[in-house]
Amino acid sequence: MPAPSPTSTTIRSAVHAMGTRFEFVLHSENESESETNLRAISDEIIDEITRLDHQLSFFRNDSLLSHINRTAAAHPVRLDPEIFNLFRNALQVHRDSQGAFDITIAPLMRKFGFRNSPDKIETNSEIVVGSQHIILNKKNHTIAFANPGLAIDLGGIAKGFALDQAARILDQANITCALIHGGTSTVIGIGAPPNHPTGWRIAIADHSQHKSPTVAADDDNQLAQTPLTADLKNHTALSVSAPHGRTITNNPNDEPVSHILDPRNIINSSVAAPAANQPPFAAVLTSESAALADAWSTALLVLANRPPNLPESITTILPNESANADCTIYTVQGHLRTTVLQTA
Amino acid sequence: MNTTAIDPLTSNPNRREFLAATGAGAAAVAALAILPELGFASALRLTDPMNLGVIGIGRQGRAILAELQKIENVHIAAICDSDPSRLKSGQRRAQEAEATDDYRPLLDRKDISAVIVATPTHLHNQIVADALAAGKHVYCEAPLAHTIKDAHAIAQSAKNANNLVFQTGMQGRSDPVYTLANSFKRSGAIRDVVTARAQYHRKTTWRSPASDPNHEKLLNWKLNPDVSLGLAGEMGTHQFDVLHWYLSRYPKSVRGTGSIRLHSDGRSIADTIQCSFDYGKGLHALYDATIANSYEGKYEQIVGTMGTIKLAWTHGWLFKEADAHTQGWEVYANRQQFFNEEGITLIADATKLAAQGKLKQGIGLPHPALYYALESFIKSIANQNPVACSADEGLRATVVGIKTNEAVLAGNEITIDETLFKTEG
Repeated sequence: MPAPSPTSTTIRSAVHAMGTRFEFVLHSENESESETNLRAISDEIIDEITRLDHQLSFFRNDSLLSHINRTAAAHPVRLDPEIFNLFRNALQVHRDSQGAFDITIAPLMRKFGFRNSPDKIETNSEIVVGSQHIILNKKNHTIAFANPGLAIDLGGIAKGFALDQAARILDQANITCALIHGGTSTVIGIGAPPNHPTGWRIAIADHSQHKSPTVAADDDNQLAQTPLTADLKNHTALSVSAPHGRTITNNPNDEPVSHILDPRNIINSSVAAPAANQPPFAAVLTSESAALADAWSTALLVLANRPPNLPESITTILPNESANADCTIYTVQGHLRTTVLQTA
Repeated sequence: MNTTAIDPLTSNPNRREFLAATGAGAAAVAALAILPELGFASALRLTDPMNLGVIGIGRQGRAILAELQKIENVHIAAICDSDPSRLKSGQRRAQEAEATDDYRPLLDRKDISAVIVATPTHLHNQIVADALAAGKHVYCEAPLAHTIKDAHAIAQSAKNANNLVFQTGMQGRSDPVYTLANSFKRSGAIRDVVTARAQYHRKTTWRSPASDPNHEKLLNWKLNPDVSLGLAGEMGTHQFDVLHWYLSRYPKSVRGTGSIRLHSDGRSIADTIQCSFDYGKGLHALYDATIANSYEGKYEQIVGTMGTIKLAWTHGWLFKEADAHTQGWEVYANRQQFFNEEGITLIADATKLAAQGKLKQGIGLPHPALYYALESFIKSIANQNPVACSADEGLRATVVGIKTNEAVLAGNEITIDETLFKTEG
């Protein structure tokens, strides 16, 4: 947290959205910036994230996304430019990641029990996954499905998108120092806290504890024990994906199934969570865009290596090998699994 | 269109008949028809384009833009807001719309047949009067006005313009779950009404950031006691209307209290209120609203001798008393557990959905309540369907909202003279 100074104001706020908790720290050194106004600004971003949750939720019957999933195979659905761009970005990551990131993964998520159980679960031969079946019409700003089996789940990008929109509101309100995160797995640092000019220090939790990937930046003791840290400033977004972040065990005798699924492999799509005696792995990366960071962190975990088309705006730096050995380079079956850490 | 699939009260197939407008009215609406239904949960499609204008691009205005976008052949031709940043955010969402800071150029456009008024409450009256005078159909957000005088003026303007559609933006009356639940209630599902209760809980400041001090007062009109009706008027009105509709009665008096429990930031408008209504003949209802806590959100409850109906906008449930009869349709119903209570989810066409193996898809409306309110407005224009919520009902709920706010401010009981519920003409 920023050090208190006589004229500074800091507020924290939070909202439940997109199946997780978003949290915001807003800081102002400006004497005329009252706490009341900071609260009003935080309300604006809470409203925006709530609005986007209502639009993009896979779980809400009345969301725009559910409307798209129900009707886009019958006729094109009009989108506003912001949502249209979200889909464009999602399809771009799909192409650049050679299909490792795919928003049409909903039928697979259902199959593995990560979504509301529907009245009927498709058999493998009925499952359609593939963003190439999405038709975006740039002129009319519409989305349509070329295949009626298609269903979109924006779980891999919506949180980041919501944070990008929130960051824009903070910009418009002239907030130059803030930390905002969604579910601790995607975070944007704006400016830098006054006591830490290199940026907001983000700790990536010790994966050997099999905790969810986390962001916790204000406890020095905790930070000292954290093998991976990144300093975020000037609108940098960071996203973490780990297969152990969320798992499901459908049958007591089964191995836990990770929520990270490989959309290119309908039969064996779960990216296995590491066994208890194996070093865990995660993908951590930074970008100017939280939506891209969010999407690519999933894609990199599935790909297990750096693809040739990774945009330059995505920074993946290997963790410092001299850091805590538990966390340097995690490999699974010989592949580089942990990517990334950006130093400020 | 799909109304027939989810709305048993209005499932008359004749509604889908092509109705040619006479063209005699000042409205620029020619023959419009609604395409045949596409199946469960699709959105409305008009055969002929309709141009709309949206006046007021605050949070509600932006939500309206998003819902209108779902309706095929409805074009947002113009948007208007006096605040530049709001106008700009509207332009991002409706790129083909003409954007102005004044609403008059919008009313001058002959190609625009209808307007949606989503400005601060105290600005409605003049805009509505001008829009009706310009021959536009009007959807006006609720409450209609911040004074009894203005509310009457709006209801009177709407009455005088009887060739035009006027709909009050109270969403309960066009909400398919509410319509369905009311049909259950009228068929005796909860028998006699014992009492009713409604709440609005949300954690928010109700304050917009003051990036431009010149606009601060207008942006934060809800916190300005000169023009704001507080929680009772701004939020309560919508819910009071639901009670009026379900109880078929209007309150004779209201008691209220209000205080500031969280937002001690210099405001005088209460952030927490409690109200009780007396409908006569021993029937009372309670209302509780706060912006200091979000627990259980927003809902209305009609409590009867044989069961309770709980309405939460996109969802509705029936909680039966143990001695209530079992109805045939209950076999197909979904049930949800609320601690010790079991609620039967109210879904239209439950039997049909069950036969198709799609029962769970029917839980929770496929669109927000706002969508259905706008859809019904457009259908009233295109197909001459009855208006879901008339200016007269808008007037009555607005009067109750205003009087409830007075009771909250006075901390006392206020009598509601029933002559206030009627327009003069």
